[in-house]
Amino acid sequence: MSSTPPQTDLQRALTRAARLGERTEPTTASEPVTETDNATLHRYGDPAHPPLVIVYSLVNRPAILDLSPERSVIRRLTDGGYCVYLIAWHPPGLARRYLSLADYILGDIADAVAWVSGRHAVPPHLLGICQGGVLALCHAALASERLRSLTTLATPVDTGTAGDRLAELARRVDFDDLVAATGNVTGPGLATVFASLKPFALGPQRYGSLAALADADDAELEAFMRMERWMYDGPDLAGRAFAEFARDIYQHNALVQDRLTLDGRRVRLGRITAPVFNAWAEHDHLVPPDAARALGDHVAGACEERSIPGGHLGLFIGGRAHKTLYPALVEWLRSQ
Amino acid sequence: MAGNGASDQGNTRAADWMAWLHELQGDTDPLGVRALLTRSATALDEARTPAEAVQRLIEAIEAERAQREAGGERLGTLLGQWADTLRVIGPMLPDTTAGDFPSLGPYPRQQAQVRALGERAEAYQAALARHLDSVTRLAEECTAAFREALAADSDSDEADSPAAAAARLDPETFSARWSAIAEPRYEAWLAEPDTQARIAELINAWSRLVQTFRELADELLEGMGLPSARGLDDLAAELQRQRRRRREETAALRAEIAELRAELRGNGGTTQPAP
Repeated sequence: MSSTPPQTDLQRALTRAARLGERTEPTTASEPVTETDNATLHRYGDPAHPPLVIVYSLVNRPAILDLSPERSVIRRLTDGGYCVYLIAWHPPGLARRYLSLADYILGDIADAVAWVSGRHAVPPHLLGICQGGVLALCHAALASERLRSLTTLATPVDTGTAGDRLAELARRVDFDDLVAATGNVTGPGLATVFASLKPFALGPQRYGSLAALADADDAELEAFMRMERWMYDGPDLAGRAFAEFARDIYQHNALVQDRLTLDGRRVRLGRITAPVFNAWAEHDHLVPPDAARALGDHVAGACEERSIPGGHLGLFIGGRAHKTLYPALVEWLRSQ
Repeated sequence: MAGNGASDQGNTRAADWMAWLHELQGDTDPLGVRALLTRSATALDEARTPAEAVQRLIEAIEAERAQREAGGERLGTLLGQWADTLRVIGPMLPDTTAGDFPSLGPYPRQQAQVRALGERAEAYQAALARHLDSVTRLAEECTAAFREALAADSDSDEADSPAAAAARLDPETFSARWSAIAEPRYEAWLAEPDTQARIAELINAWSRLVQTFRELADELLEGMGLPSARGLDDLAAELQRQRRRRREETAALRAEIAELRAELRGNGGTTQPAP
């Protein structure tokens, strides 16, 4: 009689992960409070607290901000005494392939900020993340007086710096042709592009580390799988907005050159008078430190800068970020 | 037929053409395809059971094969004539790519699209080949370096303890070593301007090829009265125009309200236009 060979650690971890199922509910409780044209505004925390609006990237889903109770950016902010509003973008259908950056910035973000300001009777703090940081910067440049402060995390500002691999790869691509062919740009397609920048770290090294979770508790294994789903389950992007972003921000470096216009209105970072808190990760391969650091040289008001060791995602789920960066951010927000 | 060799190509006479065309008329079937089909159909028609059908088919094939063998000489003559004719026709045709001359006759737009499809497919294949070639060279370079590292291990295995040698073959260690060797090479390759140019070229070639496919598919669908991607794009663009108009109206209204509120507060100050 043949005996079944013992499972390896990786096999055991995979078997357990498959049994866990897909937990989809967020870690922190929230309620939808209003809709804008392309998003739902979710509220977290006490409505009596001062408001803070998060503008997340259009590229991934905001689940990364609330992956587990211990590593939840949203929880850090609500615990810090803020009523947090998250602009949760709706993935565009094919009928919305012509949505532009102006629609998101002058439409949804402006509507969300106006709604929150009206409910709280004070201007909100605005916090932009990664690509959402660019959108937040544009809003702030056009309506700085409507904000109490602006925070940007891992936000590409100067894409002309050396070693900015995404910008280098984007330089010769004809994005108008690309979206004419694809309509919207698929989330899985973009995830593949990002993974191809670090195929070893995100391939054998990442899945190799899964073996170490063979005997870990369910929560840890579940966090790994939630991260996995987050990485490869990004929403589609509206074709025109994607092409505008790639062309203006990555090919023309339009933010630092004051060349970006939205519905004919020029976006000038120098018009941002609200206080700014800018943070980046020191080993971020998607938004290199120099690309993010540049913001301080271009805004009119004071700019508090923080960097922490680690990569792009470490800024949101890293232990160091939650131990030092977010307490510092909360402290700074209170001082504004 | 059109002459008997390259030397008399220029002296082709109408009579030669007529002779050749005569060969093509009637039951000309140089490869025997039509005859085989006819024999097979007849055989199947006459058969009463599947087994009998197979037997009759075999007989039909054998009969046609015998016929072909007998007619081999005639086929050889015909092929020779065709080759000679092509040698005559060749110099009459333009020695340029299809893109160098205009569309002639009906459906000029469709002709241009089909021609563009060929050109763009070719451009895409060339870009893909260049990229794959580069990826292959990178993979070979990484593999060679890994092989060298393993060879060095093998030398030291003799000096090491069996446990240390076995540890090097542990799958996790093995994978980590591969990553340590391949990752810096991959990143250096990705940072090369030539690599970036090749990737961009591939993406651009793919985009243009797909666009051409879409245009052709749209023509086909619209020709049958069915909705096309182009038609849906028109609708999406119209929706976008409406959305933009509404957004501008909302922004104007919001600015007006802000101004009125400011007036009500008594400061009379003007506000910046709403974003």
